[in-house]
Amino acid sequence: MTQYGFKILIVEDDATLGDVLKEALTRKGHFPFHVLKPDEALQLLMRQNFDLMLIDCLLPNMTGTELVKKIKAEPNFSPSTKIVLMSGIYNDKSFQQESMQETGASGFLKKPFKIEEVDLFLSSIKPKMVETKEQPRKKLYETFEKEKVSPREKRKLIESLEEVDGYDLPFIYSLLSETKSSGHLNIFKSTGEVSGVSFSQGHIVGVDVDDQSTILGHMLLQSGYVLPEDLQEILQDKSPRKIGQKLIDSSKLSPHAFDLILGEQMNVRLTRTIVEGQVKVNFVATEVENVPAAIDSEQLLIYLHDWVASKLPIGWLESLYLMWSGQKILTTAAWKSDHPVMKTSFVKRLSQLPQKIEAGVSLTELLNLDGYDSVSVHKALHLMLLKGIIIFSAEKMALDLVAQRKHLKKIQAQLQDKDSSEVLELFQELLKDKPDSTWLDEFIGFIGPAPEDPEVLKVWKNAKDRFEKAIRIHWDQSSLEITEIRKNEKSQQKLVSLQKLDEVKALLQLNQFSKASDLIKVIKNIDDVPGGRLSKAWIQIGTMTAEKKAVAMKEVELELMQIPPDERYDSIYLYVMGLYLKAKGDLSGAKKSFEKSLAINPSFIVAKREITLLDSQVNQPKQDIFNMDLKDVVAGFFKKKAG
Amino acid sequence: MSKFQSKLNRQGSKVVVQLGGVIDEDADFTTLSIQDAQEVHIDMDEIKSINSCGIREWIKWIGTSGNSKIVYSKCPKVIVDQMNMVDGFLPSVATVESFYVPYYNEESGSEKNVLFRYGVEYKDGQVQYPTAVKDESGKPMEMDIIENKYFKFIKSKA
Repeated sequence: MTQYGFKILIVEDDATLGDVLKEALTRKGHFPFHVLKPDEALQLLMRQNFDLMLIDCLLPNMTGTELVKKIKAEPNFSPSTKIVLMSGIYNDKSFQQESMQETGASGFLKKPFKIEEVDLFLSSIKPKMVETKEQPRKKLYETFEKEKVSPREKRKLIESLEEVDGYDLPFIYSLLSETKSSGHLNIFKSTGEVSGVSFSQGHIVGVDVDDQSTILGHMLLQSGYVLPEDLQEILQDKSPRKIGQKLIDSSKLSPHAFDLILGEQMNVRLTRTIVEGQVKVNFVATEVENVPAAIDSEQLLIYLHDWVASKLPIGWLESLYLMWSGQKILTTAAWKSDHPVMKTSFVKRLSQLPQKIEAGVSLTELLNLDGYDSVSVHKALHLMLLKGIIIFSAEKMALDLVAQRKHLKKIQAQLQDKDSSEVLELFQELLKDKPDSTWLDEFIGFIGPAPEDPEVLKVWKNAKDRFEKAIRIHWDQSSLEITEIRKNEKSQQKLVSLQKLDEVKALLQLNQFSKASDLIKVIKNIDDVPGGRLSKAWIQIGTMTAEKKAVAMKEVELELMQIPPDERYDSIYLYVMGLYLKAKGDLSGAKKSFEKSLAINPSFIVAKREITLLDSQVNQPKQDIFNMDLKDVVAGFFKKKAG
Repeated sequence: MSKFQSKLNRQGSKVVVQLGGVIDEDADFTTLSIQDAQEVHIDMDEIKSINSCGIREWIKWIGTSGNSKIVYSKCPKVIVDQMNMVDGFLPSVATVESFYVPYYNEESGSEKNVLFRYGVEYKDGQVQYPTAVKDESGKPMEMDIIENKYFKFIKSKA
């Protein structure tokens, strides 16, 4: 039952009569479903529960009483569901009493009946207690509202976890680090893959993933700790020692530098554990030896920033924080103006964020501020919450009329371009583990009660209607089927996107930015496609104009920040980084980046071209064209390049 | 000395394996051949921890037993957690003779592992809780686990 209506199943083989009944009940604000055949009713019951069932006595293949008996035998059947039989033919009292006795039905409606007669049965339905399962994941996030949580409580919370979202893992890593835990966090994907992260006194000392490809060579080259020719020489040595050891033994790499690379390698592997979908986790507390390449809490903050920036989709964060959007953000005892989190890019991008938080503000209010984009706000707050320097107050802040209208309009806009599944996906964190019959109540709890102001009420109603429509569509169709279809569509779409992105990259290498820009626009969910953000950044740099350079550079920075660590050891990434540094005016940094790109992929012609261009710029004496002779200026433009 | 300790004892067609220490990437199961045994009894009293590599190794090893009767005994919490979570960790042909349940007293912080035995503290999907568990100073202790989660394997075997 929702506060706003009941879920009612009508089993009526007369299509017209069933539709009329459905329409009348919908008008009264209920959620009726109409099926024509008994087997359709049984199928529907396998997936959902109802508050009331109206069942015709004369149905194809079986009688209404037989159907009721079958329904009651269903394991999914809730005893609190009221069943009412209906008939236009069997109307004698003895039949009615007998069939009610036989089936345990609550009543009998003689057709035709008035819709008000159904109300009588509905009024006797009491709101049932929703069985609440133990939800350790929810408890984990409840720490976002608690000022003090002891290390033991935190450890116990982690130990109690079983199924979590892959995107929860950065939070879990952070907690294990903060509580100085020792042991193994084992992670199980639904595909059967097992990974693990080992902690020693809060330091990450080992990461075991199924995909053991190391990209160690690329990392060594990119770091600059090893020269390409030295690496080539070592690779030709066929002795069984590991590359790192060979490099150290031949004094081509220092042991300390190698430890740093091993730490970075762990970061890449940790990044691979953060995946979309459900994973199971289990923490085995035990003593674990420390290693020199361990990731300490300081280093972990940098990686946390990387993961929040590049791995956590904004849609997931928006959905996670919906439940707190109206609550005031409070600072904790750990809050300091010089806390390392304050120096992270997302916090710095938002002008005066720490001051605004200190003054007392909610997430909704932050999102209403100019220059405060959703990505930066959500990611900055997520980092602050992970590090425990802020929490949310337990109560919602009261919004004034203007803010409430703004808030509702934002929700309305969020819902507008989405199909029904996307609407429900947006609210998935809010609705998680809650029976679908309470979803509308949850949504209304989120947007607040109907406002009195007629204009605001209009927006409120629009948002509510859109959400209600999404629920109706979800209920009308088999949600299992939809999930399956969407999964298939997603993987097919991903393949098409990857193919198109390859075309984009080919165009970019030919400097055809405008064509590449047109093509990338048609790729759906480009930000989720590996290499998508990098190509976007490349296009932005390539199409940058002098007038809009400052804005465009900020956008490029944001794109580059959101590229996951495991996609950074790649010649294209280094090339685009080189272009970015060049656009910033850091020519020596740019050259180094192009050189590294070329070291990773010696046939990457565009990187070679950029190095040549930079060399010619450095070698050419600076000329002041404003004070030069016009003849020399023109000659300079058309002069043949040497070599 | 290896972090992983193992001992195999053949008694006719029955094999008794005692395991202890750390089950990780260094744990060597190749010396513990259970292929031809009709019954494999695995005593896990001394196991301290298991990581993801160890879990993979375990599943590979236990899979070599084919259709032999397998009995797990004195399973510590780290093993019970895997039995509940990882497909294949507790094969369908295996039974659990006994396992440990952690208890805790919040006031004194004392901890203790209590051995639950088949037929005494649990049987066929049912758990028969011990009447009173007390710490050394006589203070009552509570189970330090989430029951639904921890006893899942018992229900799945019912």
